[in-house]
Amino acid sequence: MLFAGPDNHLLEFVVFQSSFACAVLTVISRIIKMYQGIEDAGIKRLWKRTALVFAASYLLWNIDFRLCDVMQTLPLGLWNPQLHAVWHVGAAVCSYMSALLVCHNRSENMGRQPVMRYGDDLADEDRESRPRLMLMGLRRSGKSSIQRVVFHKMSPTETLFLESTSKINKDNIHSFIDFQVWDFPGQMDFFDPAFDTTAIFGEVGALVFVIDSQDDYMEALARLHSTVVAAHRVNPNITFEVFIHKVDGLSEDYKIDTQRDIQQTTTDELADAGLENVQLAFYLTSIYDHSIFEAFSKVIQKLIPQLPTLENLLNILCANSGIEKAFLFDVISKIYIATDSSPVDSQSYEICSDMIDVIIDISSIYGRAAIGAKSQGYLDDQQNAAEDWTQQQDGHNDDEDPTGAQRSQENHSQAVVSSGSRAGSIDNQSTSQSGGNHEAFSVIKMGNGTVLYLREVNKYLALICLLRAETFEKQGLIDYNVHCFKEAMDQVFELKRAERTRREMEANQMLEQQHHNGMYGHG
Amino acid sequence: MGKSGSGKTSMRSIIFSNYIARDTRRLGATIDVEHSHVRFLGNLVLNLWDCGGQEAFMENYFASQRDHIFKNVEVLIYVFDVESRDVEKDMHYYQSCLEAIMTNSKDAKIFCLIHKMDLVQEDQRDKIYNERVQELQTRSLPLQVIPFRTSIWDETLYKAWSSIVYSLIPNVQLLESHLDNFCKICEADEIVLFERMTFLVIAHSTRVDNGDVHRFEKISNIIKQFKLSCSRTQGSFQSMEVRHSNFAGFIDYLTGNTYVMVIMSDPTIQSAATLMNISIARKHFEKLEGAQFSK
Repeated sequence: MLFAGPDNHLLEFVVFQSSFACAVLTVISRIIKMYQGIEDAGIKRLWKRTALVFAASYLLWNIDFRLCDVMQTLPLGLWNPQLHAVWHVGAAVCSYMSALLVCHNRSENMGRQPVMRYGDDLADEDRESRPRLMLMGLRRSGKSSIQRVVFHKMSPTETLFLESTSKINKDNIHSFIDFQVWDFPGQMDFFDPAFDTTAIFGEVGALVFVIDSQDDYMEALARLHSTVVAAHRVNPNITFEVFIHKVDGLSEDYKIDTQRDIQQTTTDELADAGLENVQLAFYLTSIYDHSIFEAFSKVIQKLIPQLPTLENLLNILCANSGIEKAFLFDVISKIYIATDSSPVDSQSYEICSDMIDVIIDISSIYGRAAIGAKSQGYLDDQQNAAEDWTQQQDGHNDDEDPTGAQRSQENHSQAVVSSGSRAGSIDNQSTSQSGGNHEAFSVIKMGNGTVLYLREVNKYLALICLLRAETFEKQGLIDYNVHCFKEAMDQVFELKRAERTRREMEANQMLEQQHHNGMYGHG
Repeated sequence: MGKSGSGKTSMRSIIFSNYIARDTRRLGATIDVEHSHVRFLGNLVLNLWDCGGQEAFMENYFASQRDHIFKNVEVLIYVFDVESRDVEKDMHYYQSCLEAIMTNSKDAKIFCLIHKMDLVQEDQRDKIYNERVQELQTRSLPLQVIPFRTSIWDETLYKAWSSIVYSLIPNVQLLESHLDNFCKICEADEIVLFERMTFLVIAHSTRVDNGDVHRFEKISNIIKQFKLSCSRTQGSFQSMEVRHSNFAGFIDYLTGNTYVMVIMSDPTIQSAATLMNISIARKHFEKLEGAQFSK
C-alpha cells in the first residue's frame, strides 16, 4: 500500500516507488516468460496453483490489515480468524512450490530431464520410453564427430573444426524409433560424488565407448573398464559397445591386431573384476567410410524391441520373392534397422546406402520444381531432400495416427533437431499432394545382373532389396509382396503406438488423482 | 597449363580416370608433359597434354619446345590457383603462353579455370572471382577467354569440363535438335545426354524449366560418385529409375557411348512407356552417332 509522504519528501517517494514498480514489473514479465516456455502440463498446473495460493494469501493478509476492527468484533461471537497467520502459512506453501518450479526449470536448462512425481507411490510411473544412447570416451577420441557425421550429415572433413565438447550434449533423434544421443565430454569424471550415476546410467539403452586407435589406448582402456564397472553396477541391462575408432589410418593387419589386443585386455580385466557375464561388442570404425554407419546400425538394432518381428517379416519377404538381401533403412541417418537373417556383407550395405544418397540428391533437384511452386522459399538445400521424401507421406500418415501422440512428441523437441539436421523438416508444413499415393520408388540395374529395388515404407523408412535380374522380371509379384510387408509393418507399429497412448493416459490420470503431496525428483 | 601445384593433374584424374577428390592428394608432380589419349564418345579422341608447371619446364616450353607444344592446339586450358601468392608471375607465364598460342595455333579456344575456389571464404568468392576474371580479360586481349571457377570438391569442375568438351564435339546442334524432338515425343520435362565414361553433359533439351542452373553438374557428380561405389562392388552401373510423388527420372544408356536422363513430371505416364520410348530412341541415336563420326 502506498504511503503519502510529506511534500518535501515527494522526490524520494517518487524515486522509490517507481524503482520498486520497475523491479516488480521486470520480475513479473520474467515469470510470465518462464511460464510460457513450459510444455509439461503437470508443471503448468503447478504454476497456476502457486500463483493462486499467493494471490489468495495476499488477499487474506490485506483483509486482516485493512479490516482489523471488523475482524476483532465479528458477529455471533466468532473469534478473529487470524488471517495474518494464514498469510504466513500461504506464503510458505507458495515459496515451497516456487522453489520446486525454479529447480525444475534450472535442471531443464542444464539439460537433465526432470520428472515431476507426486508422492512416493509413483515409483513405476510412466518412464520416458525413449532409449538413450551414450557416447563416451577420452577427450579427442571422436565422439562429437561421430554424432555429427551419423546424425547430422556433416561431412567428415568438416569435423576437424569441431570444438571440444564441454557439457553433456543431448540430441533427440526422431526417426523410426525416437531415441536420444548423449555426447559426453571426454574430460568428465563420473566418479565425482556430485555426479549422479543413477540418473545417468539408470535408463541408458546402450553405452558406446569410443577408443582412438591411433593413439596410445591404455588410458582409454582403463577408463573403459571403470565406466563399465560403474554403469553395470547401476544398471545391469545396459549394452556396451566399443568403437575402435579412427581405423582409417591403420593398415589392415594392424587393425586386426589392435582389435584383438583391445578385446583381450578388456575382457581379461572385466573377468578379474568378476564381471565375466558382461558382454562387450567391438567394432572397427571410421567416419571416412561406411563402417561407422554399420556399427551404429548394429547398436541401434539392439534397442528396437520389435527387431525379431521385423527380421521375421523380412525373412518371409525374401523367401517368397526371391530377394537375395533386404535392408530396412532409416533414410535420414542411413542406418539399417533390420535386415533378413542372411549374413550382411559390407559391400551390399555400402551400395544401398549410396543408393539412398543418389535418390535423395536427385529428388532434391527435380522434386523441387513441383514443391517449390507451392511453398517457395521455405526449403533450404539441405533439408529439401528429407522434406521431399516425407512430404507425401505426411498427409497420408495423419489419417492413420489415431492419437497424434507421436506427432506432439516430435513437436516437443523440434527445435533441437532442426539445427542442421535433415530431420528438422519433418514437421514443417505438409502440403498435401494430389498424387499422394505415389511413394518413393526406385530401381537401379547393374551390369553384373544385380538389381537394387527401393521402396518407401513410411516416412522414415525405406526397404532396399538386392535381387537378381532374372527374379526381377516378375516385378508385379515383388511389388505386391512388398505391399504386404508394408501393411504388416504398419500393424506392428500401430500396436506400439496404441500401447504408448494407453500408458500416457493412465499416467495422466494418476497425476490428477495424486497431486496433493507434491514431491519432486528428477532422473 | 598452369603453375606448379595448381591442380591440373588432379582435375584430369577426377574427370577422366575416376579418381575421387580425396585421392588426388596422392598424386605427385607432373614431370614435363604427360600425354594422354582419352576416347570420348567412342570415336572422338582427345589428346590431353598435361604440362608440368614447374618453372624449369615452363621456360622450356616457351623456348626449345615452343613449336612442339603449341602447334595444333584446339583448346588451351589454363589453370590458376586462386590462393596463389605470386599473381604477377602467373600472369607473366600466362601471357607468354598466349603469345605462343597466337603465333602457332590461331583458332584455339582458351579456357581459364580459377581453381581451388573452395579455399576462398564463401562470402568472398564472387568478389574475388570477378576481380580475377576482369584482370584476365584485360590481360588476354585481343583473345577472348572463357573463364570458370572450379573446385574438385564440388560440381563446378563438371560444369567447366562439360563446356570445354561441348565446344569440341562436332555437329552438336544436330544432336540437340534430335534430342528436342525426342523430348517432345516422350512428353518429358527434360532430357539430358551424358558421355558414358566421364558423365559430362553433352547436350540437353528442356521443356519445363527447373530453376536450378547447376543441376546437370550436380547429376554428373552424383552419378559419377555412385558409379565409383558400384565398381567397388564388382558391378557396373547400368540404369536407374526414380519415382516420386511429383516426378519420375530415368537414367539409362542410350548408345554405346552415352547415357540419357529423362525427367517426367506427369504421374499418369507409366514407367514402361518411357522405357519403351528410350529403347526405341536408342536405335535412332545410334544411327545418328554413326553418321556423325563417319564423316
